Formats: sequence, C-alpha cells, structure tokens
Amino acid sequence: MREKLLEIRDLKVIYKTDEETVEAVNNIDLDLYKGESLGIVGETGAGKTTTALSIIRLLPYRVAKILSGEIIFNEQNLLELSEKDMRKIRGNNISMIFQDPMSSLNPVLTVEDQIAEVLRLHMDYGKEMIKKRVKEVLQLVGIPHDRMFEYPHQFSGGMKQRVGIAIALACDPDLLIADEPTTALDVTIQAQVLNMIDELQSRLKTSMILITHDLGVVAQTCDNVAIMYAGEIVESGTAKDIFEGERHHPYTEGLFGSIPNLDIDEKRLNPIQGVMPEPSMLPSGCRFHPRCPHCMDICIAESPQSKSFDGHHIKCHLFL
Amino acid sequence: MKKIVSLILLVLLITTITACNQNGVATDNDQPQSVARTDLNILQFGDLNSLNPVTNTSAFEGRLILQMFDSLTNTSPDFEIEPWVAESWDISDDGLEYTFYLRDDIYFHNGEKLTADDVVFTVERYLESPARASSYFPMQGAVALDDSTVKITMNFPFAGTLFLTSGLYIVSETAYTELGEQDFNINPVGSGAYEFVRWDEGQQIVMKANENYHLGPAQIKDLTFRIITDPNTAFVALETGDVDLYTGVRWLDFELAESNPNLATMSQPGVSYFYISINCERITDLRIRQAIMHAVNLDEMNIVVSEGSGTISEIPVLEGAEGYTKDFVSYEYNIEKAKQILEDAGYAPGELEYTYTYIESATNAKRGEYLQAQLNRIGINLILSPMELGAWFSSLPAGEYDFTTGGLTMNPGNTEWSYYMMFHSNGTFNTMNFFTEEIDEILDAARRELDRDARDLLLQQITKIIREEALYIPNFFTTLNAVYDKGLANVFINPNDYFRVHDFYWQE
Amino acid sequence: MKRYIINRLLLLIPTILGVTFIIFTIMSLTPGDPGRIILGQGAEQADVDQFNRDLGLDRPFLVRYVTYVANAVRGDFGLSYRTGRPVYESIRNRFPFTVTLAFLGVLGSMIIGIPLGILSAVKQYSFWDILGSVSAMFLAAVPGFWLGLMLILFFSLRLGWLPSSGVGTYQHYIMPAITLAIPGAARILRLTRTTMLETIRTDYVRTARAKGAKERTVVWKHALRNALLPIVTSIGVSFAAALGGTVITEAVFALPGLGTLVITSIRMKDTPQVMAAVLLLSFLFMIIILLIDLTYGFIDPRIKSMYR
Repeated sequence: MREKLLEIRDLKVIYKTDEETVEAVNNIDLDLYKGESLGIVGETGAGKTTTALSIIRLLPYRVAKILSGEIIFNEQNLLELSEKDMRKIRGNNISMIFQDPMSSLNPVLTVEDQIAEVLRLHMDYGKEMIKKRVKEVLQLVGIPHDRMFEYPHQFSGGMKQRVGIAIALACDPDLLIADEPTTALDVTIQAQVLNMIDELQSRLKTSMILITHDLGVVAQTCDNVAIMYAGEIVESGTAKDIFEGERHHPYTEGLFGSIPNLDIDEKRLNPIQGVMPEPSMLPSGCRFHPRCPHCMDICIAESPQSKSFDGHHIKCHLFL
Repeated sequence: MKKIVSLILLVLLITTITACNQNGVATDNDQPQSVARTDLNILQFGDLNSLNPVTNTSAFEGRLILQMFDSLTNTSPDFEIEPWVAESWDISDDGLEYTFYLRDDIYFHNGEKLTADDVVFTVERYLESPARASSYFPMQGAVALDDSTVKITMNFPFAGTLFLTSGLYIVSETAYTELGEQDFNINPVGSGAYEFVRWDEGQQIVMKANENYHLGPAQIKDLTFRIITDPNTAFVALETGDVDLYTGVRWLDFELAESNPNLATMSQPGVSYFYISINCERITDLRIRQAIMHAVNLDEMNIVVSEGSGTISEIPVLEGAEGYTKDFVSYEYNIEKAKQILEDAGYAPGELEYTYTYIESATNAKRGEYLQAQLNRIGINLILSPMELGAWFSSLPAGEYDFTTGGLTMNPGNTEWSYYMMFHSNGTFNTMNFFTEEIDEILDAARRELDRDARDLLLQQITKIIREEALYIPNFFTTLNAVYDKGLANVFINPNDYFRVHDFYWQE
Repeated sequence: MKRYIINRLLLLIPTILGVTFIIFTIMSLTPGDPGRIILGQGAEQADVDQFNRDLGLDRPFLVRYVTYVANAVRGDFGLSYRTGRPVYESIRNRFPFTVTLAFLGVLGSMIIGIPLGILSAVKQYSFWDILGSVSAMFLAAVPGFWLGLMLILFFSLRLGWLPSSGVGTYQHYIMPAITLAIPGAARILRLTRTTMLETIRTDYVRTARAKGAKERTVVWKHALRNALLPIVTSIGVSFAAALGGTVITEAVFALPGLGTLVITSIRMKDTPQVMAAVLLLSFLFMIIILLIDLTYGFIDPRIKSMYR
C-alpha cells in the first residue's frame, strides 16, 4: 500500500516588494508517497523552487508570504510548526540539494566540518561516531574519505555536488528535495551525478522531489511527474501518464515538441511560441492561453479546473 | 525614522548644553583647603627643544630656564638693571670693560660653588652658540680675575651690555663638561630656585625647590610645567584644577575665567608687536604708502584679527618704553582722503596691484582679508599669498613681496636692539627695506650711547621717521592674559611672560 | 607559506628605500632651512649658514641622501636638528603612547562596530537597523576634536570622573580611546552591515539554514567568517592609520604621541626626525598589511592556497 509522506493542498505564495506583488505559486496541490520520487518540471520562474522552499520554510522571509494552504508532512502541517520545531525537521527529516554546488558550500569550512555540522545538530552522536558517519556518507557519494579535510575550492563542480548530496543524506532524511541538482554541472558530469542520486534514492528508500526543467532527467529518475507553468500545476500523474499517455496539456505537448527527436529528421526544433508571462502581470483566464495553439474564447475568460483521468490530472478547458 | 533622528539630536544637544553650561561654576572636587599646597602646575603651550640656556631657541623655554638658573645681572619689572649673581660691577671709562663682583653664597644643584670660572665658561659657550651669537656679538670674551671676579670685554661700547648679562644664565662648568652639550640640553644643572628633576617628552617638565637657594628656599616645593597644545584642553585643565597657572589665555577663555570665582585673572599689554611691513623698494612712492595708512582702521583690524584684545599702537613702543614719544605723524582713518591722495598722485583706481605674503595661519588670513577689503575701497588690488613658515623665511631676503607679516618682541628697556633689527640696513629683520644714511647713523649712535636719556632721544627720532615715511601698517601689541588659581598669592608676571615661581605661595 | 612571507619581507626593502627617497626629496625641496627656523628671525645670516653647514646641509642632495641611507643601514638614524639628540629617543619616548592609543581605539571601534553592524544586517530595516545606520552616519560626521572636548567637558569638568588630559593611569586613555574609536566604529558598523547583508543572502548560508542550524550559528559561524575579509582590512588599515595620524586626539588630550612629533618636526624642517618617524610608520604599515594578508589566509582557505 502506498503511504502518503507529503501532501500539499491549495498552496499560494506571493512575493511582495515595494514595487509589485508577484503570485509565485498559485493554489497548487501535490502528493508524494513514501519511497517514491516526484519530478517537478517547468521553465525558469514557474514556481518550482518556491514550492520546494515552502516545504522546508526557507522562503526569503521578508518578501515571501504564504497566503493559504497546508503542507502535511508525516501528518504534521509544517506551516503551523514553530521555527524551533521546524529546525528539527530541516536537514533531518527533510533535506535539500541546491542548484549551484559552487556557491552552496561554505568556502571557509572543511568538507568534514560541513557534513559533521548537520550530524551534530540532529544526531546524538559522539565525536568518533560523527567522524565515522562522515566517512560513511562520503563513501556513499563516491568521495575518498581522505579528502574530508579539504575545502570546497579543492573540489571540482561534480565533486562539490556530491558533497552537497552527502550533507543532504547524512541524517537519512525521509524526504530529499533536489532543486535542479545538475543544471550547473558539465554535461558529462550531469549523468553521473543524476545516476548516483537515482541509485541512492532507490537504495535508501528515501522519497524525493526532483526539480528540473529537463524532461529527459525526469523520465530517467522519477515515478511521478508534475508540470508547472506560471505558478500552477497544469498536469500531473505517473511518469507513464506523462510520457506515454494520450491526453496532454498543450504546454506539456509544447515541452515535448522542444526536445530534439533523433528518430525524425527535423530541420529545427519546435519551441513553444512566445514567452512565459511576467509573474506580476499574469493573463486572465488560463495562464497559458496567450501561447496556446488551441486557445478558445473560454480560455481567455475563465481559469480551468483540474480534471482527473484516473490519477492523471490535467488543467485545461480542452478536457472539461 | 524622523523621531529617532530628533531623539538623538536632542540627547546630544542636552549633553552639549549641560557641558557648556559649566562655564565657571565651581567644581566640588577641589583640593581640601585646610593645608596649604606646596605644589604648582603651570601650563606649557607646546613641547620644548632644550632646557640649556646656551642652546635653547624658543621664547617659551626662557621662562623654565629662569626658574633653574641665575643670571649675572637681572632686569627688574620696571626695566632697571639690578644685581643678581653679580653683587656689583664697574664699567671702564671707554665702556669696553665690565668687571663683575660675584656673590660667594651661590651653589649649583650638584653642590658645587658658583665661581668666576663658571661665568667665564658660560660666556664662552654663549659666544660660540649660533643660537646666542646674534645677540651677544658685541661681547668679546671674559676672564676670571679671581674666584669671585670676572671681567667681560666688549668689542665696542655697547649700550645694552647689562641687558645681555641679564640674559646670561650661569651653567655649571663641571656638569656641562661631564654631560656634554647634548645631554645638558635635557639635564640642565644651574643654581636657580628650582632644580631639574625630570622631562617626560611631550608631557611635562618636573622641578623641585632648591633648598640651598641663595635667596632662601621657595615655598612651592614641587613645580610642574604640563605640556598641553590645544587651547580648549588647556582651559579645561585650568578649570578642573589640573593646572594652576596659564599665561597666554585666549580672549574668549579669558572672559570665561573672569566670571569664575575660583580663578584670578591678570591682563596687560605683552611685548609682541604686530605690523604689516611695506616693501619700500617696491612701493617707492611715499604718497601711496600714506594713502594706505589712511585706508586702515586700526580698531576695526584689532576686532577682526583678535576680537579686539590687542593693545593698539601706531608705534612699536608703549608709553614708558625707550624711544617712546607722542610727537609723531598720525594717520587718521579716512577713505576719502586716501582716495584723494592717490588721485592727486595720478593713480587711477585699479591701476595698483600688490601681493601680501604671510605665514599661513587663521589670524594672518583675517589680517590679509581685512587689508584686502580696505585697499580695495581705495582702488588698490591686493593678492593674498599665504606661505609655510620655511617658505616665508626664504621669501624675505629675496624681497619678493609688497607687503609681509611682521611681528617682533620689543623689550621696553632695550628698544635699541629691536629697532636696529627692524630699521638698520644691517638689521636681520628689516622687511621694509627703507635704507637711509640718516637712520643708520642714528641707530649706530644709539648702539654706542651709554647714557640712557641720550639714547632715548636718538630712538625717539627713529620713532618719528618710521611714521613719517609710513614704512608699515601698524597693528597692535598682543595682550598677555594670565589666569591662575585664586589661592595662589604674590603672583607677578612680566609683560614678556617671565615670572619667578620662587616668589609665589599658596594662601591658607 | 614561508616562502611567501620571506618574499613579502624582501619586498619591504625597495619599498622602504622608495619611501625614504620620497620623504627626503620632499623635505629637501620644500623651501626654508632648519637653521633659519630654529635660530629665528633675529639671527644673523652667517650664523644661520654656519648652523646649516654644521648639519651638512651644504652638500648636494644625492650625497646627503646616500649618506643618510648608508648610516641608516648601520642603524644610525642621526641627530634631531631641533633637539640635537638622537632621533630614536623621541620615538622611543612617544611610541608606547601612540601604540596603546591606536590599539585601544581600534579595539573600541571593533567592539562597538562589529556587533552593531551584524545586528543591523540581521534585522535589516528594523528599529535597530535604522538606529544603527543613523547613529553611524552621525558618529562618522562628528569631528574628533569636538567629540573629545565634549567628553572632557562632561566627564572631567562636570562629573569629575576622568582626568581631562595627560597620561599616567589607564583612566587617562578612556576618553582618547573613545574619541578615536567612534568614527572607526561608525565605519566598521557600516562595512559590517553591508558585507553581512551580502553574505547572509548567499547560497551557503541558505544551505546552513537547510541543515536546521540555529540563526545564531548561521550568523556567527557561516556568515560572519565570510564577511570578515573586508572588515579585517578596514581594521588593519585603521590601526595603521591610527599609528601615524592621531594628531588631533593627541592635541586635545595632551598625549605625547608620534603624530605631534611628526607635525612639529615637519614644521621645524627636522629632516632626521621626520625620516625616522616615517620610516618606522611605513615599516609598521607594511607589516600590518602583511599580517592582514596572512589573516586572510586563516579566514579563507582559498586565499591561503594562493600563498605559494
């Protein structure tokens, strides 16, 4: 039986500055089951990272506001926890791998120090035990443990991200959030790191949310997929639903169209027309309508409801 | 935000006001009055170079040397020569030989007796010292006739000889030779009322009373000259009792001191005379110089430059001093007259343009700006050219100026010395460059004239000439303001800022 | 590392030679001569010339310079024109006061500036931040002599708690140190705030938060150490500057420091004294800069790895 680990309901996040208010995440729903992995796909600015940071409550505190919704993790609503209780969850039950390994590690601390810190915070380990565990997780991510006294600048980009993964996995979290973990890496390294994440996730039975703009990555790694556009989830379902299903949101179709297909000899890619709207100036009705090849009158007037086709959710007037 | 700013400002304002309000109100932390004090702290405005009377070069070292050394003769407050180390003296008829008979009860601080040999040694040191040579050149040498008799020989009959011997502070030959000049500079050994104890560079000079002083030990036992260079700090130190005597107080502070019941004040014309020299080699036309005289209001200038604290004088001598006369040409302030003189002489407004060079300082700048404004009113352009001390000194011999700052110490009993320097063609500070045989002859005669009245008449002639020829724009004599603790008694301060702590005592 | 330090120390030699040459040239080129200044306006020109000849000032510039350097290398820095005493005496007498004052002043500005700067940054736009920024602006604008005088008026004259001037006890240093510390504190406060605001937004600080670290740990362990580089530089430079330039503070509190000595000596054209003081100060300045650079290495391993 699948057991729910994380449930996001009706989450709405805005960024408010002196000049403007931005609807970053707009009433989204998400479910994640234990041991499974969920890929969140979308263009830059679609609200993927905001969703992730909402879960561990590290949104920039002065500008970001969660207006509504709940995030149930292990039957607790994270949004209602005190900061102190939340700290006990961060790095322990939920940990995160960040996009840019170059800047995500503290340049003045040794790798050992940075991994040990999270252990010291959450585990009741003695000194020896911590050292042992640091060696263990380094081995897990394929770094020889004699390099543990080195500083981040002595590592290559891929190795740094391995350190980031080691930090994230040190306390055996229930949920791992990987926010575009390979985007900043060389293409050749990307596959290695991704394979490693995939392999570790299934071996350690950790649930994972993988944020990416790369459908290929999702296909390789994830059990479930959610497609985000302009702060909304326009389509979600199992990997099979997304990659092999008959019905798709026009945006998902557009995403697939922009992947080069080696089987067909095409002269050029078919990117989606237009650009994603400025988040502070969202269009009326369906947010995708200005770029949608199937746009109808109702799309301009009304925001569509999500419709479920046996767990495959699509938010489009075409299917209503 | 606004609130916070105003709050901070308010707090600061209150602090400032309460702090300032303090002026002159008695502080409670005064010394207990039951026992008379025996210490005295005197403010010293700047550090010293040397405490050796042979090598010291700045005027304000003199008053420290005076406490520690005895001079051969002494100049009394009313400029009479009186005995000191020398009980009496004879002068040869040709005025070339002076025989001094020394007291036999004077001992140096190292315990040795002051003898004729020490006097001879001191004269020799003075004569070879570049710091003394310019004053002591009329002296040829000295010989000891016996232990207590010294004969000083002059190069020519010199009127001011006994003034020179009043500045001849006798050093201990033994100590001087043992230490060498360099160490004697900071370890002076004399026979004066106070014995040198310690010199903490930049901080203080400490002395203690000489219990074997030939005029009896002083009542003030511990004497400290505290070095403070900031006038504000100096005055606060006076108010808090950190110093007891402060001479040369600024005018504003002096007014504050007058309202302070704990402080006694004393104000008198000093000996520094300020003027603006006119370079007569460049401004040759007497009529221009006269017009300039009429264009300057001395009262106004006094107010602008020194808040009215100076003692205005058209001539460099005050009443009672050698060379003083009422009979000189006075130029009243009259712009129209000044303009008329220039017009009659054929100078169009704007035709004349001059440069005023001066040592860069706030007061000199004010002086320059005032002069600039006044000359402008009679159609003369004035360019101000402030300079560093060194540069200014270099500009003088070259004569590269039309106007320049002048300031000189005038010794009221010995005007001849200053006049020679200012007006003789061989004078070392002749910045007016007005050379006539008449002036040189009068000054040469005065230099050799031993009779005081005759010399006075000669110098009066000079006083008349320099006004007649309009050689300089008069300013004022600085005022010497002294403030001291009310408890201090028998305080007497000479116009030249000299005083003998030996005479002071604390009242019960 | 060792080689780096040795290289840097070797670099001192040409730098100091350059400094001596510049100062010597300036002292020689500016008009006026010590003889005239020291003997005064009344002295005969012949005596002034003799005085200057005795000091060797009649020899050509280059000869004087080379002689000076040759003597200095042997440790002979000459006699002061003004006092006729070896120049190191005045420096030895005054240096302790200057170092103490500079040290206390810089220490004071660190103690005030760094915590307030951190507070301002961490609580950006809060009451504390505004208070900090406004007072920093205000304090930076307060002239030292005014602040010093106000302190004297209040604490010495009105309250009678502290001695108004001079040296002797530790109490004598309190007000001068505060006077010196305040503008420095304002500068450090603003610098700390700016750099902390930058580091506090970096990814690694977010990583630290994501680990579940407490805010205090995040600030002190992760952000501050990375923000320290510019602050350390500023502190080092302030200290070096305080060694040479506390003239006003020295005057207000009647402290016998080096600044006063240098100014007096420049006015009197006392070249040997000026040279010795400037040499010492520039030497110290460079040593301090070297120490700052080495401190960088301890703070940031990336920089350490470059010291090869």
